[in-house]
Order: sequence, then C-alpha cells, then structure tokens
Amino acid sequence: MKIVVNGKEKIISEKISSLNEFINIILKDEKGKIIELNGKVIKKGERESIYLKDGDRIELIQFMGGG
Amino acid sequence: MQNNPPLEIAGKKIKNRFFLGTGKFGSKAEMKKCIRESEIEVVTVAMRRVDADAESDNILEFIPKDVILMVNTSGARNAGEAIRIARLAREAAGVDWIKIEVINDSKYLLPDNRETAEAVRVLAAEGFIVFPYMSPDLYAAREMEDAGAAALMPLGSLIGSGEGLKAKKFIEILIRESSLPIVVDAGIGRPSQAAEAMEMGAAAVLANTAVALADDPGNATMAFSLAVKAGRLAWLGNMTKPAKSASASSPLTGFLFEE
Repeated sequence: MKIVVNGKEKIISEKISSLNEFINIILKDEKGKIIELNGKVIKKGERESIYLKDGDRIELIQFMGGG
Repeated sequence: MQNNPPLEIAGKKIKNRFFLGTGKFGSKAEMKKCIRESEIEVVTVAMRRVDADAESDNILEFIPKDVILMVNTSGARNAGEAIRIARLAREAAGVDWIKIEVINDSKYLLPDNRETAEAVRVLAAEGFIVFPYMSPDLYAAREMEDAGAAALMPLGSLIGSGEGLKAKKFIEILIRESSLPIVVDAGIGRPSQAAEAMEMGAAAVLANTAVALADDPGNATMAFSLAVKAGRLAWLGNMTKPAKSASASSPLTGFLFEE
C-alpha cells in the first residue's frame, strides 16, 4: 500500500498493519518525536489499535531550536 | 530597592524581560546553561519535520520546567499553516504561548502582517496566548490588538542581521499608541541595542542569533539580560531628554575664588 511520510510517498508491505509497527520500523530514535496521522496527533498508547490504510499521511515532527 | 514590577502576560509574571531564542546554539547543554545562569524566563522553540533516521535529543528536555515555552510558527507561509503549527504545539506539548511568524519572502524574511493578523484572530479565539511577529505598522498593530494579541513583536531590523533598531521610529509609534506590551524581536545584535529598545519603553526584547553565535554565549546572554534590565530601569526612571545646550551639574554660585 502507498502512504505519505513527511510529504514523500512510500510503498509499504501489506504485512505492516499497525501504526505502531510502522513507527518502530522507520524511527531509529523515537525520543521527542511527534507523530501525526492524517492531521491528528497520535499518542503512543493509541498506536497499536490504529491500522494503516492506503493513502494515509504521516508526519514525523520534533521541537527544535528556533528564535 | 528597585521599583520594577514584572511584565504580566496572561497571568504570568515575568521578571527577566530578555526573551531568548533557542536556535543555532552549538549544543543544547550550552543553551541550557545560558537559560539557567541568566535566569531566562521565556524561550522560543520551533517545530520541524524530522528525518526518520535522525538521532537527536529532545530540546524540551534541556529547557527547565519553570521557563515559559513559546512555540514559533516559523516555516509557515500563510495563516492556515501558522494555525496548524500552533494547534500541533498545543496537542503535542500543551503549549499555549505562540509566536506567530508568517513569512513568504526568503530574501528579507519579512513577516506578512495580513496573514499574521488572520492567524491571531483564529488562535486567540481558541484561547492561545498570541504574539504576532510583525513589521511595525500602526494599522496592522491595531488589527492585531483587535484580533486578540497578547503582545506585539515588531522587528528591530531584518532577522539575524544584528543591525539593531533600524525601525526605531515606527516601533516608538507602536509603544505610544498600543495598549499591548511591545516585545522587540529580530535584528538585535548588541546588548546596547536591546537597552535602547527598553529605554524607549519596550516591554521586553527577544534575541537569538547574537547570543547563540557568540564565542561565549553564557556571557552574551548575561550581557543582554543586564542591558534589558538597565534599559527598563532607565525607562522607569524617566530620565531627562538630551538638550542642545549645556546644563551645569554643580551649583553655579559660591565659587571659591570669586571676588
């Protein structure tokens, strides 16, 4: 299936079903990262029960230094 | 005993009127040291997409919990994007203090006052404490105030330029005409420039580049904090204005050798 991560299309295996599984694969270090699915912030505990579908948009966001 | 009441915004009392931006520091530990040593009370941070492979520390862990966190909407090119960043900051970290920064122009990085005012209107209605970063224009300032801004953040000069108060005249107009606190932001490269802004009645000053890129950011932060405080006390002291002719500071009578 096709999903969009930070604006870029990614083809992922149908075997990866939960958002949690996907995040564990793509994020080396999860500390301080914010995960947004289709415009909604997803808390860590909610991820297991969320299943990815074709066309989902994921944003990986972080607070950074800025003026 | 100094008579220097704190700046009050949205129920918070801020004693240190030097706000610090957290970008461009050599290390997060150094940034934390600056915040601690100079007793900084308000800092800004940004939000960005991250590289999935990136291993990096969470900046929020380096900002003491008693410091007020203000999230800027840098990277937003219109009101809609700024609003989205603000909502994300609230949802992800419970942050309500937002510096609205809407920039479309990559050469001068000048803020888009019209889009900024629109974002102020929407976010203030949602209960955010909004600080519009803006070009110092009186009409725009009135619009931001009507829209529910908590304070105004006019630019001193171009972001990161260190040119100081190039927009001085227009910032002075905002200080005189607006009932909101004026926080001078952008282009402040020297503590003396920060002091100058405070001497003319600004409520606070924000700087980032000048401190973060200094050889010794700790000393630079302290210098800015002290300058901002000195400028504030000078404003409260309401010192005499410059004159064209001299005025003796010692008595002009009773000279010792007069005959």
